[in-house]
Amino acid sequence: MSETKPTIEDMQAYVNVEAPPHVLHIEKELVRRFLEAVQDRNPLWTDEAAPAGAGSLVPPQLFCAIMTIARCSSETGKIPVPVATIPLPRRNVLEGEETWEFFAPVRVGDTITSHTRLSDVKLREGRLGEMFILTYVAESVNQRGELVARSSNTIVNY
Amino acid sequence: MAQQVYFEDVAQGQEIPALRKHPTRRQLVMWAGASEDFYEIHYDTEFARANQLGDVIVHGRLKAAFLGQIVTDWSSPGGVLRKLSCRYKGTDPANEDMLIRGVVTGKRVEGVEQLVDLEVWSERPDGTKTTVGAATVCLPAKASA
Repeated sequence: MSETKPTIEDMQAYVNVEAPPHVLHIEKELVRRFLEAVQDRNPLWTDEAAPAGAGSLVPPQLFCAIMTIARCSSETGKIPVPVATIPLPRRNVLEGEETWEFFAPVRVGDTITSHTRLSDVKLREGRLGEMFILTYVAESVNQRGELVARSSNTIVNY
Repeated sequence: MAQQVYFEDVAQGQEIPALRKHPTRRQLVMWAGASEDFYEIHYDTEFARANQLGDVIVHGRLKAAFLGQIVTDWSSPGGVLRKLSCRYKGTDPANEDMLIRGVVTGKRVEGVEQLVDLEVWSERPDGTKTTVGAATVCLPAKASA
């Protein structure tokens, strides 16, 4: 983190700037770990013959919640940031609100490419002091170019 | 497995079966691994306290996944979740009972689809709603079954 804290103007310069896409290959193991972490034991997600699967497994729709986030590598620091190339102006993050729309199933074997951009920046005084309200929107498409999900994620950065 | 719920069976105001959770610190670590969200406020007490939190807290997106699960548990195998939104109003400590609940707020037909809207939320043992959301699910109709 630089010595001068980013201002709202600094952050507004990132609004709608295109960032490198996040590519995720949907492996069965990734889905298994998701299901175990959620403790979702619905046989629909693991039955290869289930109608929705049609030969390839379909994870729950909220699997999309782990498709768009940037990797928490040393590159991005301690906090999982929605766009690795956009810095967070402050140290701490709390989740604000989130929306997902699901258009087509994600299937095991798919390669999902997500494009996330910062869509809105606000500065507010709150109980935690000066807070940035950052909204990101993401679109995820599969290897055939079909839109599978669109999401919006607002975080509080203080 | 539960019987398929059909569009005709659903009424506004109807509560769907609640989902009981008890996210342990171990489960938070499992979610961290699955989602690659390794933010320390979810497993490191000292770090959480240094960040103005009482102790480690449950990941927001894990709660969102629970809100999705209550809907898919109720609507599967024939229902398809189309939309979920939620607001993270409050934090939840690890190792505490969490109740996920949902109520039908409306039903509508859009084109050839029968859609049901629900309010869904997570509750702490004292009844505080910490995550509140809305879901839309497409249900099969008996007429076409």
